[in-house]
This record gives sequence, structure tokens and C-alpha cells, in this order.
Amino acid sequence: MTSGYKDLSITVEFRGGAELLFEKKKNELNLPGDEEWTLRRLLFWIRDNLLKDRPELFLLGDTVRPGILVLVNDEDWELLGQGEYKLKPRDTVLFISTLHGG
Amino acid sequence: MCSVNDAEFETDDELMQPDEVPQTEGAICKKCNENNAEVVLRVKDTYCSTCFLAASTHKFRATIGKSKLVRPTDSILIGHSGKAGSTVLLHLIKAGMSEAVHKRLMYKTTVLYVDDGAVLGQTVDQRKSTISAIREQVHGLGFTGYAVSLNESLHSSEPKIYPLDEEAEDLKGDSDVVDLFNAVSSYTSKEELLHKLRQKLLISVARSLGCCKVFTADGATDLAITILSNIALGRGAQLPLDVGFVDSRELDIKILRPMRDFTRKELIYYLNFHKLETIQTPGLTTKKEPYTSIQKLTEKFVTELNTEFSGTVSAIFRTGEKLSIGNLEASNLIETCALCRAQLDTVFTNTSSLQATEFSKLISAEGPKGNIGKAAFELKKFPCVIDAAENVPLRDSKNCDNCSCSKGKEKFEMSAKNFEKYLCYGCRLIFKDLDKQHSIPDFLQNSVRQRISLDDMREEIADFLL
Ligand SMILES: [Zn+2]
Ligand SMILES: [Zn+2]
Repeated sequence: MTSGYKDLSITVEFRGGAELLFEKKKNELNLPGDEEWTLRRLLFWIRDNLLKDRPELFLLGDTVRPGILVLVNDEDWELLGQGEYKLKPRDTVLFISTLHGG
Repeated sequence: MCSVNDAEFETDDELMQPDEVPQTEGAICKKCNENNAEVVLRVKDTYCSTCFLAASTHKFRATIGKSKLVRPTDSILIGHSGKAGSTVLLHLIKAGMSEAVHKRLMYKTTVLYVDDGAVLGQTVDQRKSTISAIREQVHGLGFTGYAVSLNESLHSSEPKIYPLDEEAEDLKGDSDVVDLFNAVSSYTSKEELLHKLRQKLLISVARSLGCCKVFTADGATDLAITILSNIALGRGAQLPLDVGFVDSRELDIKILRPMRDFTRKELIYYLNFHKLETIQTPGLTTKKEPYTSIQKLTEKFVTELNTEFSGTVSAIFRTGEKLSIGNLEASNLIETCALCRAQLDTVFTNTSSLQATEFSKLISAEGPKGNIGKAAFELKKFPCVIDAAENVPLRDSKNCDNCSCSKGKEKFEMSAKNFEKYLCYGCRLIFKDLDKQHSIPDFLQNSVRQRISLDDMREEIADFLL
């Protein structure tokens, strides 16, 4: 089956201290359009491509670490099916840490 | 009863029920039943931004209102860190100031930024750039204010503050406070010390600016974490002061916590809906292992548990609410801790856990063959038992400051043991982690010296009292 997906351009932003784990606070991404991009797939992609070190400070199992909030276009990901959410072009995904100890 | 938001801390129904997988996809706001929901609170309560923000404002006003402690014309110092809690607090106050006349907030507010960058390992340049970011942010929120360096908390003199608007030119290395923190061996005690010094500084700045109240921005999540970690740190006796709406340990200035009903998630959504930015700087234990400090580990514990059981934060928080300070006033002398100023919890009663702790320390030190009978019997008389530190003088013996009486010589000879007598149990633990070679901060020496001469005076006049 040939891929019917185009490359996916989205914005990923880290805030509330989550940015300390990454090079840049705001990232314009162009994800390869080989298959569908769910939020879960994006999490792993971020771990493998953007995270400087210490993946345990960002992920726990196949979801974000407790204390990190995820918003897609300013909407709570709990309203969008969390990891199952299918990313759309020009989506903005925010990861905001609520952890004081970092 | 006006708001669904109040449900968070007022019903018992949903506490500690394992969360079911919620059906909230594409949900509409449960408050207005009209708009698309944008945030989910407590697993299943869905709100649109309009209803969420209205409920937040209502909750803030209700927290302050029901306490009946804040008068409309009060002069209030606001401790601002640039982080989520205090940024939301400033925004809520500003919004309250432009409400219709009958519900307008009219406080005289002063914003204070405590510059603790030096102990967090920042250079002078980094601190300057944080301060200027804070300045921009505070301006953006419609306020002006002051900054003060944490170093100022160590001295007995009035703290030197400077307007945020002025460039912080003569920012120094703050070597006193940096040295002190370097001499404290554990991160648990460093965090404790940072908190206590910060509180002390807020109080002394409030006093010198003539503010009668201080607002700090601790939210429900912070307080739930503090409740558990403070118990672990031996501060159980002070919990109502440390986590209640009002901290009244100082007679003239009260610390209030108007953000205590906001969880961290609510704060983040408030910020995001209003497009407000926070200033993030790494803290003492940022990116360190979870076991670095008791506070950090407790944060991890509470946050992880709250993800599985969304009632965790409110369950802990509500338990904390129910605690009150025992009636120590029965004893006619109320002594307070020289560092944190809470009532001393170190007075032995026959069954106190402190006594048990000291006893166990004593027999552990004696070893299996030690004869502890007599010492244990005498334990009651010792306010604290410390060994190694005992010989280190707190201050070189010298003559009384005011005169050359020979009595002063012995009077001001303070051993670390003597010094401990004037600390609560929790603060003693901080100083157990302090390098014995390091000198005790000025303000503590002064405060203990005053206490000692007061005690002496009491002793001298005791015979004349009926
Ligand atoms: Zn609504
Ligand atoms: Zn204390």
C-alpha cells in the first residue's frame, strides 16, 4: 500500500520547566508523511530526536511523566483521546511541566 | 453554593476512587452546556475557557472572602517568583481592581521578588537577566515592585530592597548566603533553609514597608506536598501554620495563601487561556534524582498518585485543613523558634515522640554494652542531647557588649547545644546538616543572645515574683 500521507508540519512547545530538557523552547517540526502520526508516536519521536538526556524526566512508559500537561491547540489532550489523537497539519502541541523540582 | 469548582474540596464522594477511563472526547462544557470543552478537571469535569475562568475568579474571591481576614484597604505585600502561582495571583488581583465598584479590590499592593539566584548557582549576569525578565512580566501584569536579595535574610538589620524599575547594578555575589548553603550537606535541609529564609525575608520586608499582610501563592498541589513532606521532616506540630490559609506565627504580620484552592493544572490552564508567560529558572534540585531530597520525592509521590487517583491532592489537602495547633498556651511561657518563629515543639512531655527520638539516639550511641539507665533517667532534663557539636562554641567568649562586667563573659558563651535549645525540632534538623565549622548566621545569633539574656533576667527576678 502506498502512503497517502503528506509530510506533517506541526509546532511543538515546551514550557513550565519542561524546556530545560530540550535545546529549544519552540520547535517547528516537519514530520515524514510515511504513516499516520498519533500523539503517542510523536512522544517517542520527541524522545529520540529532541530530548537532550534523561528520558525518564519526560516519559513514563508510553505516556508523559505524571506532572506534565499536554495541550493540543490549547485544548486538554484528555478531551482528544490522549495518545490516540491523530495529529493534523499546523497543530500546536504544548508540553507544560507542573513539577517544581524539575 | 455557587460553583461546581467548589466541589473539589467539599465533597467526600469521589475521594480515592480509582479513576475510570473517562468518556470526555469531544465533550461540551458541563457548566454552560453550550461551548466545546477545553479542559478536564478531576477526570470528568469538563469546562470551556469562559466558564473555567469565571469559576477561577469566583474561587479566588471566595477563598479571600470567607476568611474575613482581608480588609478592603489593607496594604499587602505579594511574594512573586515569576512562576505559575504568583503570576496567576497578580493577574487575579489586577482583574479584581477593575471590577464594578461594589466588588472592586482596593488593596494597596506591593510586589516583591526575592532573588535567590545566588544559592541556585546563578551568576550575577544570569540573576540580572532574571530580574529584568521579572520586571517586564510584572509591568505586563500592571504592577511595579521591589526586589531583594536572599542574602538580606541573614542580617538583623532592615533588608535592603530596590525598585524593580531600577537596574540592579550593585548586585554582589551574595557570598554569605552562598557559603551558608554550601555548608549545608543535604538538599532536604537546603530546601528547608531556603523556604525559611524566604519567609523570614517576606516578613521583614513587609514590616519595613508597612504592609500588614503578605500573600504567597502556594496552591493546593504545593500544599498537599508540603503537608506530607513536613510530617516527614518533623514539622507536624507546625502544619496548620505552614499549610493553612493564614500563617499567624508573627503577631504583627500575617501570611495568607489565597491560591490554596488552585491545583497546578488549574493554574496552568488559567495562564494559557489568558496567554500569560511565566519566568522559569532551574531550582535547587532540578534535573536531579528523585531521591535527592524528601521534598522532591514527596512531589513525585503525590504527582504520580494523583495521576492514578485524581482525588489524592484534595484528600491530603483536606486532611491538612482539619489539623489545628494543640493548646500550648496553657503553659505560661510561649517560646518560639529562633529560625522559623513557630512555637517550640521541643518541650518534653512524658510521652512525646521527641523524647522517644532522643532516647533512641542515646541508646544507639551507647552501643549494646552501654549502661543507659542513669542517662535515660536524666534525659527528661536535657532539652536536647548532642555530642560532637557540644564543644564547639557558637561564638567566641567575650565580654558583655554593653558593659565590661565579668558576668558577660560566661553569659554569651553559647555552645551549639545551647543554640539548639532555641530551635524547633524541624529547624534543629537543618542545623544538624550544617558544617560545624561554619558560623551561625548573624540574625540567629542575635536572636538567641536576646533570648538568653531574657532567660537570665527571668531567673534573676524569679525570686521576686509571687
Ligand atoms: Zn462553559
Ligand atoms: Zn523552627
